[in-house]
Amino acid sequence: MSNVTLRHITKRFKDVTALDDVSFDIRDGEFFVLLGHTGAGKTTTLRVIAGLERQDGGDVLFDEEPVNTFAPADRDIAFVFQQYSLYPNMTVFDNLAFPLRSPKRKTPADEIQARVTEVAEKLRITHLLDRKTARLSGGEMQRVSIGRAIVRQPRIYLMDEPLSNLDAKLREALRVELQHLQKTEGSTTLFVTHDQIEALTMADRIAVLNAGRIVQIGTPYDIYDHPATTFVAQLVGIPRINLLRATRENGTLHVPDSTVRLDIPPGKTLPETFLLGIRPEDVRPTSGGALQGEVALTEPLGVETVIHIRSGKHILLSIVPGITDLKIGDPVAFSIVQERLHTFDLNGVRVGE
Amino acid sequence: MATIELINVEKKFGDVHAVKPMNLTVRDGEFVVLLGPSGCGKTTTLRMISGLEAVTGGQILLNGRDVTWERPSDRDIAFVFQFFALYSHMTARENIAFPLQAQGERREVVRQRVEEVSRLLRMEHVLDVRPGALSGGDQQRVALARALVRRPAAFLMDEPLGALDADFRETMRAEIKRLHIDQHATTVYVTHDQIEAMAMGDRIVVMSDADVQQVGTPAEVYHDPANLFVARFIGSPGMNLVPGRYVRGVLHLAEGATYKVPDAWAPSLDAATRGDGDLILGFRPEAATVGVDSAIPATVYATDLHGGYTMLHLELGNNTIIHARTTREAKYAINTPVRFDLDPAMVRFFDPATEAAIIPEVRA
Repeated sequence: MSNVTLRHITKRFKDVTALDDVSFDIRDGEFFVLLGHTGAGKTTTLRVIAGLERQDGGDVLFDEEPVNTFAPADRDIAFVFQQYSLYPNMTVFDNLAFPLRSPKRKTPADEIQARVTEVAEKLRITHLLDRKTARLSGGEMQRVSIGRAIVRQPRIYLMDEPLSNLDAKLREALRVELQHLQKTEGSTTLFVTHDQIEALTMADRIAVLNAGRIVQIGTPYDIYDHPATTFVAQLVGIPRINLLRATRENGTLHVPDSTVRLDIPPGKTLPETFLLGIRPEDVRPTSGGALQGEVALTEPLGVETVIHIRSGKHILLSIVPGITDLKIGDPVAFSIVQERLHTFDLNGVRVGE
Repeated sequence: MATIELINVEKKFGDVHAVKPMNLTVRDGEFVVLLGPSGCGKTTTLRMISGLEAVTGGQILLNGRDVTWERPSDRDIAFVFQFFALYSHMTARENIAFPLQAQGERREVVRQRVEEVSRLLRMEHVLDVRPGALSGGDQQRVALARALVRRPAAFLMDEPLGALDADFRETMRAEIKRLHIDQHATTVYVTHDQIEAMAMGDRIVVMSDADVQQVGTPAEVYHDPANLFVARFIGSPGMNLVPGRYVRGVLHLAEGATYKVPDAWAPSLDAATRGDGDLILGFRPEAATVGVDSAIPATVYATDLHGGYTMLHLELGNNTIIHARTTREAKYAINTPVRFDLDPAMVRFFDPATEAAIIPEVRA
C-alpha cells in the first residue's frame, strides 16, 4: 500500500470554496478518518484523491509522487460507497471476482479463487458466495461491497460513509469487522463519516473538517481529550460536552447563575471570561461532592444513566454507571474532575494549556 | 387523565398477522414505549389505538370505555407523526392554534393556550415564523405544540424524533420526557431506537414478528431479557451470547474453555437441562472483566475508544465475538491473548431450543 499526501488543496465550485488549503498525510497502513458535518468537504476531498474532481490548487501525492495529472483509473485506488453498487444478476463470488477479472489485470483463475475465498472468510460471507446479490440483506450487500474493494490490493481504500445506510446493530458489527480487517491487512484507508462514534472507534487518526478547512488532526484520544476548538469538543462525545460561559475570580473559576465554583488547576492561565467544557463522565454525583444541584431528569440507558443536574439556571449533563437510584427533584451533591476541564476563549479556541 | 387497555387486540391482513392478539394496560400518566424493528407491528398497534386502523379482533378501552369502533376524532387522543405535517402557508402560531380554532374555541382561549404551550416548549421566539424557515428541531416543536394545545386525554407518538439529526434527537428526547413529567399525560410512543426507548419509557413493550416479546421497565428488559431477541435488541452492543454445553455445574464453551456457573444457578440449570444439555450463556459487556488469572481465554479482535470508555472485542473461538467494556486507559494490540471473568450477579442463561430465558429459582 501507499502513503498519501494532500498539500494545500483548494477546490472551488463557482463562488463556493469547498476545500480551503487542506493538507494532511495518510501514512502507509493507517486508518485515517475524515470527520465532519454534511457539506464540510469530506466527499470532495475523497473525490480529489480519487481523481474524480480536479483541485484548483495544491498537490495530491502518492508515495511522494504527484498524481495530479493521473486519471482515476491510473491512480490504483478502490472505492466503497454508501450505496452498494453491486451487479444484481451476478453471484457474490462473481461480484467479488469482478475487479480481478478486469482486462487490465488478467488475474489467473486459481489466484482469483484463492483471493475471493480469503476475502469471503474475512468478511464472514463464505456461505453467500453462490447467491445472487439481489437476494441479500442490506448488511450482507455492504459486506460484499467492502469485499469487492479489498479483493484487490490497491494503493489506498477510499470509503465514503459505507455504514450509514445500515441499522444500528449491523453498523456496530461491521465497525468491528472493518477495524479488524484493516489492522490485519495493514491497508491504507481513508474513511469518511459524519458519525463521531465511527471516527473515535476505528481511526488511527482523525482529521476534523469544518466548512472546507481542517480544524484538527490527531488520534482519537487527542481529539476527545484535547479538542482544539469548541466545534471539535461538541462534535465528539455522547452525550455532548457541557459548555458554559465562565469567569475567573482570583484563584477560582465560576459559572455565573450556577453553583459551579472550582479552584483553577495550577499552571492554567485563563482570560477573565471564557468557555468552560466539562465532559458528562467528569460530572460525578457523590455524597461528598462540594457542588450542589438538583436532579432535573434521568435517562436510564442500561449500562449507564444520563442525569440532568440543575445547577442554578443551568443544566449539567452527567453520565454514571448502571441504573441510578436518584429521582427527579432529588437534591444531589456532585464534583467535577478538575484535571479534565476544557477551557476555550470566547472565539472557541482552546486556551489555558 | 387516561388509561388505555388493549384486550386481545389483533390485526390481520388476509391470513397474515400484523399484530398477534395482544394485551396491554397503559396506566394513567404512564409513558409506554412500543419498541421493535421495522415491520414488527408497533406502528399498526399505535394506529389501532388511535382509530386510524380498524382492529381485526379484540377491544380497546379508553378510561374503561370501549372505543374500539369509535372514529379517531371521537377518541380524544392526539397523534404526533415522524414527518411533521405542518401547513406551510401558516406561521408557527397559526399552525399551533389550528386544532383549537377547528373546535370553535374562543379567540382569547386560543391565544392563551398557544402562549402556554409555546412557553413550555421554549419556542416563543419562533411563533411568527413559517415552517419553511424553521430548523428541523423547531418544526418538530411546532408539531408537538399543535398536539399538546388540545390537552387530549392521551398522546400517541410515532417516531417523532426519527427525522431529526443525532444532536437534536438527544435534546428533544430530554424535552419530551421533561414535558411528560410536567404534564403527566398518558403517552404511547413508538420507536425502533432502543436507546430512545430506554431513556424515555416508564415501561417498554418489546415487539418482534407481530408479537410482544416482553413488557418491562428499562432495568427489567436490560438486566432480565425474557428471550434471546430482547437480549440482542436491547443495549449497544446487545447482550453477549455464548453457546455451550452444560454438564453438572460447568459450561463447556468452544475450544476446551470452561465456565463454572455461579452456585446459585446450578439447581435451575440442572433442572432445565436434566444435568446435561446445551445452553446459551448471556452477559452484558460491563459484566466481563479482563484479568491475568481469569477463567475464560480469548484473543483481542479489536478495541474501540468511545470517549469515556473503551470497548474490547474478544474472539472466543468458533467465530464467537464478545464485547467487554473497560476503562479508556486500557490498550491492547489486536491478536493479544487475554483472559476474562464474569460478574456472577450479571450472568443469565437461555434455552437454545425455545430461546427463552431460564428463570433462576434463587437469584444469584
